[in-house]
Amino acid sequence: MSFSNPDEAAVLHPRPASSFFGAPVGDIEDLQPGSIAAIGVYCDHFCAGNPGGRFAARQMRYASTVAGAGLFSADHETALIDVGDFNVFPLEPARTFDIVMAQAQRLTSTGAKLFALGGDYSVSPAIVEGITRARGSNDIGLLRVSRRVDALPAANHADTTLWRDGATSQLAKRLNAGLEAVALLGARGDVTLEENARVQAATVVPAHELATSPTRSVRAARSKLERSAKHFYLSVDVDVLAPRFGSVALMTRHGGISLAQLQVALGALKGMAFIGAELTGHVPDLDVPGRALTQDISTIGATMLELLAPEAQPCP
Amino acid sequence: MAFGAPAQSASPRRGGTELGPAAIRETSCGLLETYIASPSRTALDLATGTARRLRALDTSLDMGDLACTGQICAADIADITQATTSIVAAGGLPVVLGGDHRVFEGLCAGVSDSTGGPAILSISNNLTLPATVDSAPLPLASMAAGDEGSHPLMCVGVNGLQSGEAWLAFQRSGGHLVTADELHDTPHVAHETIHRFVGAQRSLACCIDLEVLDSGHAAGTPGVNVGGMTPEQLVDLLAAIDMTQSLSGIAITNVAPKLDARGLTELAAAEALLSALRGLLFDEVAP
Repeated sequence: MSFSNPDEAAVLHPRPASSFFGAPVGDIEDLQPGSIAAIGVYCDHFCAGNPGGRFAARQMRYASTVAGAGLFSADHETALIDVGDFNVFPLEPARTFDIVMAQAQRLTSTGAKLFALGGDYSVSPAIVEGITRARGSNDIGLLRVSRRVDALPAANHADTTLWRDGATSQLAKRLNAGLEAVALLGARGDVTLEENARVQAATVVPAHELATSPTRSVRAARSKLERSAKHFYLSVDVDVLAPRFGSVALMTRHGGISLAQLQVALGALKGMAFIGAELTGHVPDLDVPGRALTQDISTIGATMLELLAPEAQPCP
Repeated sequence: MAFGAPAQSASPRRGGTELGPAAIRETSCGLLETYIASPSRTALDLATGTARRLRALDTSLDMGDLACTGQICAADIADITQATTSIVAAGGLPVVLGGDHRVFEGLCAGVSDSTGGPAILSISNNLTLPATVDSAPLPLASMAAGDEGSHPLMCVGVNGLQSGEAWLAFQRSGGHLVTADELHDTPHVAHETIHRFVGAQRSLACCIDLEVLDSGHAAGTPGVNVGGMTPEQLVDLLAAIDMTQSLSGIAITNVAPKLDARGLTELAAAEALLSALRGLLFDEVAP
C-alpha cells in the first residue's frame, strides 16, 4: 500500500504514545478503586550528586512500552493508568513538596494506588504525606530498599524539605509507629555512627545479607514490620544494585546486589498490603547501552506492579 | 603526601590517563563524605560492623600535579623520582596518583634512593611496566634487582599473555606470583600468601594498577583485561593485608576516566586507595 501523503499513513496507523508498561494514558477522572496510577517524577534530588534523575520517567516509558504492551487494560478492574508526571518546581523545594503532596493526596483519594517512577528519595516524604492525608491515617509501614539509610536528623540541614540525607527521618515522623515501622533493606558501605544509632529502632538488612539469603532476610524483616503496621509503602532505589547495573545520583559503592537478587528479594514481599510504591534513583544514560540498562530497571518496576496488584492478570 | 602525575600512556595504548589524578581526587572526597557528615567523624561499616574514625588530615598534604605534558617520557619519571625523594626525606609517605602505569618506576626509584631499595608489591595484570616514548617496556623484575642483590617482588592479579623476557626475568629474580585465577578460585589462600609476604618486609613500595580489574567492571584503563579481578575482590584484598608498618610509598595508576562514562574505574581506584591507606587515615573505635 502506498500513500500520496505521508501523513496519511500516520493517521491510519497511529503510533501509540510511550507510557509506563504500555498502559493507557489517562487522567485523575479515569481512576477508580483498584486502579494503579503510574506517575512520573520529573525531579532531580535536592542535594549533592549527579543530575539526571528527572529523565528516568521518560526513559522508562520508552523502555517499558513495548515490553509491557497489552499487559494491562483500562477495563480491567486493576487497570494500570499512566497519569503523566507530577507538576513540580525544580528550583523551589518547598513549593515542590506542597504540590507533590497535594497531587498525591488527590490521586490516592480516588481509591487508586499510586506508583511513582523516577526522581529521587528526597521527594518521597511529600508523596507519603499525601497518601496518609488521603487515607486519613498514618498507620502505615515503610519498606525502603536502598544502599543508603538517609537518616540524618533534619536539624543538620537548613532547609528541611526535600533533603535526601534525612528523608528516612522525615518519613518516620509521618508514621504512627515511627522508625519501628521502617525496614531498610540493602544498605551497604559506611553509615555515620550517629545515623546508625538513630536507625536502631528500624529493621536494617545490610546488602551482604540480602545477597546471601534474600528470601530469608526479607521474610524476617517483613514479619517484624507486620507487627507495627497493616499497610505498607514500598520504596525501591536503584542504588541498591551493584554499580555495574546502573547510574545513580549520589556516590555509590561497590558490593551491591544483582538485578536477579533484587527480584528474589522483592518476590519475598508478595502478599503484603501495599498502598503505594515508588522506584527512585535511576539516572539514565541517554545512549543505546543506557537504554538497555533502563530496560533492566523497568523489570524491577514490573515486579513492583505485581506487588501492588497481586490480582492483576494479563489481558486475554 | 599525595601528588598527581598526569602522564599519558605512550602510543599505541589508549590515552586518557592524564585526567586520572583529578578523577581520583574528586571520587575519594565523595567517599569520605559519610565521615565528614558525622560530628564525631566516625562511620560504621555495615558489612563488617566495625566503626572507624577519620583522623585529622592536618598531617596530610596534596601537592597538586606535576607538570607532565603529553605521553610519558624519561623526564616525567625523573620528576616523579625527585618529588618522591623529597617527600621521603621530609619523613612523609609518597602517594602517587597516576597517570600511566610507568609512573611506578619513578616512585620506586625515589623510595630506593632514600631507603636502599624497598620490596615491591605490584597489583597488576602485567609483569612489565609499559613503554615510554623514549624507552622500551620495563620488566618489574629488573626494578627489583639492586646493587645488593634482588629485592623481594610479589606480583598479584597477573592475567593474560606476558612477555617471555619478563617471565624469565621474574623467575630468575625469585619473585612471588599470585594470579587472577588464584584470587578467583582460592581467595583465602591467596590473601594469606600476600599477607605473609607483606608482613615479612621492612620497606614496601606498592602499586595498584587499575588494569588488574576486569574490563567489564572498569573500562577506563589504557589496556583491556578479560578475566581480571572484580572491584570487590581488590578492595577486600587490600583490606585483608595490613601494609601500615612497612609501606614506603604507593602509586595508583592507569585511570582513564573518559574511557568509562559511568565513572566506575575512578570509583574502584578511590575505594582501593582508601582501603590500602585505612591504617593511616582511620582509627578503629568501638561501635
